[in-house]
Amino acid sequence: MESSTYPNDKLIAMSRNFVNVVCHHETGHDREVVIGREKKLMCSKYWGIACDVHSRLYQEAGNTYEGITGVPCTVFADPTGKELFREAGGLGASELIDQMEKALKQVPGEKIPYEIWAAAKKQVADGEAAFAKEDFKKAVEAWTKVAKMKLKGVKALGEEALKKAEEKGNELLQEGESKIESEKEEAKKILKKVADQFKPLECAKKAAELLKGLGKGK
Amino acid sequence: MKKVCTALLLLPAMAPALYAQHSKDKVAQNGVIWATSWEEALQEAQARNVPIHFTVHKDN
Repeated sequence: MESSTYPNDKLIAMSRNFVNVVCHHETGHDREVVIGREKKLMCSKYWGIACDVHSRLYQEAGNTYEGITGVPCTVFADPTGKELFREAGGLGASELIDQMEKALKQVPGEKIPYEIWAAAKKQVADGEAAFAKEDFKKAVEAWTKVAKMKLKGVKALGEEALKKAEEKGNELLQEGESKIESEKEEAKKILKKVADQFKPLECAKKAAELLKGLGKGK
Repeated sequence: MKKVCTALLLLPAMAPALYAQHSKDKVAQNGVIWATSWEEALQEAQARNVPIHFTVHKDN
């Protein structure tokens, strides 16, 4: 299956509708590949992972489904990991695609295709990197894009990340407020930062209101 | 729908580094994306509401 079934284009496309897990105890299929400018070891049987991954998965999850006596064995499970059905023995690409279609029909509700999920995760990670560098504007923009996406599961990723931004914004807002009486110019600087960098979050709106008030009082 | 289309259009720029993997003996540019841990697999399957394709193999 490793050399004939999994490299099949139609099978690859279908597999994007699943989370794919391979448990294979033996190692020794790694070979060196170049990714960008880096040399890495990658398994020659399973695309994109090294042998230590499929071997570790064998140890972690190889016994998850009872009664697997012969290999290869393919188990389909619902999103919680509960077994739907299994197929013992090797499967050709078209046979595996048929089984995948059968499994997909058994999971109701809106599904997030891999490509959209990966793009959203990338946006969230970019936001995390910007946030760590205190480029809050870039972080909030990246997370807001994800939070505005239509698919619920993707939207939740963005919303969760934005909570962290709101928290940081409120922290700065409080700092700014606390300095209004004693260090007015410094307070304005902090509030401007929150109003500019945390838009469209609630903390940015509050900061803008406070700045407006300070302007009137001038 | 517009957002979904936008995400798909952005994909080439966002594709994981693995898509670019290559070597002298021509590693495939595309393949089944395998999970790197069981815990992550369960989390992702629940977040995406997709089934799990779980397979057990051994060397011949």
